[in-house]
Amino acid sequence: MSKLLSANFMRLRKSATFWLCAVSTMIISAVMIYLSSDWANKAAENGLEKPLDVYFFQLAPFIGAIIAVFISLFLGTEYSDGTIRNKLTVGHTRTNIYLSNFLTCLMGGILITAMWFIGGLPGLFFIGKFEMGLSGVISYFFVALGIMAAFTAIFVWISAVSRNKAITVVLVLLIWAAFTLAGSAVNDRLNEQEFHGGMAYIDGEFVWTEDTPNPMYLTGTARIIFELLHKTLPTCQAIAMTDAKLTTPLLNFAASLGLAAVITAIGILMFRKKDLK
Amino acid sequence: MDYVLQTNALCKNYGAFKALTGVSMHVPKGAIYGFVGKNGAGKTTLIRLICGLQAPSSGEYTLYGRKSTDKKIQLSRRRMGAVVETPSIYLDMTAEDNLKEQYRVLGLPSYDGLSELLELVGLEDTGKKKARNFSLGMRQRLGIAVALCGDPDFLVLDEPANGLDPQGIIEIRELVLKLNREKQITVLISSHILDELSKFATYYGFIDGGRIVKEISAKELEEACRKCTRVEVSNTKTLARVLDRNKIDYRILDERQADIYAKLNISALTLSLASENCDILSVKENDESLESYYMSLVGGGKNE
Repeated sequence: MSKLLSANFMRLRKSATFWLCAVSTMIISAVMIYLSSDWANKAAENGLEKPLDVYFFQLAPFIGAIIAVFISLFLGTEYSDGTIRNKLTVGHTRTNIYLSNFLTCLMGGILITAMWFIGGLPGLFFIGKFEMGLSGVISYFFVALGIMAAFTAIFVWISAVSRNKAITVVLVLLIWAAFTLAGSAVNDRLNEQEFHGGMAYIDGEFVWTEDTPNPMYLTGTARIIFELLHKTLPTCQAIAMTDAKLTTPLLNFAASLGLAAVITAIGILMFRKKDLK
Repeated sequence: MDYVLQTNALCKNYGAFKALTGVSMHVPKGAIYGFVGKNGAGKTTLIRLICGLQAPSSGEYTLYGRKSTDKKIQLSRRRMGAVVETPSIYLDMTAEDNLKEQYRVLGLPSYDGLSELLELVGLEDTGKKKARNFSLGMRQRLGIAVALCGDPDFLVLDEPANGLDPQGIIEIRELVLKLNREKQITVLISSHILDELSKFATYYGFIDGGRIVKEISAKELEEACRKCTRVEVSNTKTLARVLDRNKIDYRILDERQADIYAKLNISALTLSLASENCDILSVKENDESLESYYMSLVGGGKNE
């Protein structure tokens, strides 16, 4: 597999798609932090000062889309241009080919994630320092890597089983969108208040209403499941990162890696059986 | 005889469709094996199986003596290179980078021989031009160059002349001949251009409807396609009697037609047949080409 990795890394270095995604991520991150600094300074003037933590991770929900574009185009070439045949014909196994593709995309994803963080560093000057400290930032970086690894596994799988590069690009973006909507939905349900109540404007006057149970509030098994999803779904983790509200970063990271491992195993099994043209 | 590739009752099904049925073929070492069949006959399917792109539904093949089911089949695969259907090249890379990529895939320690390979296929002057800007012929040659990385001694080419102009077809032929003669590379080449194949193939395998119809050497084919005179008579039984009496080699085709493999005295034959109440209806010189031989093997009706 070292030969395949060597070849893949050489291609990654020369890949315009990869460098475009990496540099774009850095620029977008820098622009977002700069625009946030304007808001942060105005908020501070009004007594609503918040630390850099709240603004630095705004790109988290979108990193999946960037990874999707990178992987679908980078690996799509391999399958649609047929260059995977060069590897199979000379005796490399399908498992090794799949894993080397996954590891190469993972390396690309790590660099893209690093570019995100590097692009946001000017925030230290524009907004201020992190309240969470260096250890917090490092733990958030690892959670971001976990999110990236989970998405990488999913998109590498889709690229391996899809025949057409254009379809792959559309599919991976749809999957990212679906994950994002799912993550948002889980987050919203968990944020529902247990009771409705308080001040209400009825018949032209403000009245104090009694607390009534909110039917949308999750309880019991449903709540447990949703809380589990909140900790494990990559997009839920990304939303929590945006608000700097990760409470269990180690669990988040482990869950993402677990998801990546399961998806990769499934992908290898499917790829081994696929008839290639 | 040493065989580089042997297939034994290979079958491949796609759902209910049987692409290959019991294909058994033998590619001798050092041969240029011409694999002939019409569209949809199963040529590319077979090539995909032996290149490891797809698994057979049943049957097996051996590559350099190793069975396809052997876990060490990869060792045999190291000795082969292939261009299957379309050239497998990175369109966003130069010719040199494409070869470097394949060198790395093979784990070769250096890029020695890379420039010679480019020169061999006539792409030494492409410089920084990306493969997406190559002509079809150039892409085809680059695909062959990629297949030649690592000095394989078995080369599989799936219709390499497809879409090429006459000059391109000649270049591919010259390249294949050079590789076979100078480097003793065994070549399996599938093609529709039958007459072109006849200029350099040393063995032939004819496939139709997913089955091998015939395997034959070039020498045997030459004998089968030898010059003859095709006569149409009113009664071939009478003709056979006359020809047997004169010890003339012939082959009866049907009730009225026969091929005669000898220089004929038409007048003498006409008189002999007339004396036995048999008329000669037509006489034609026949020089069977590979094409006509192939059509006689697989039947021409479906193509009309």
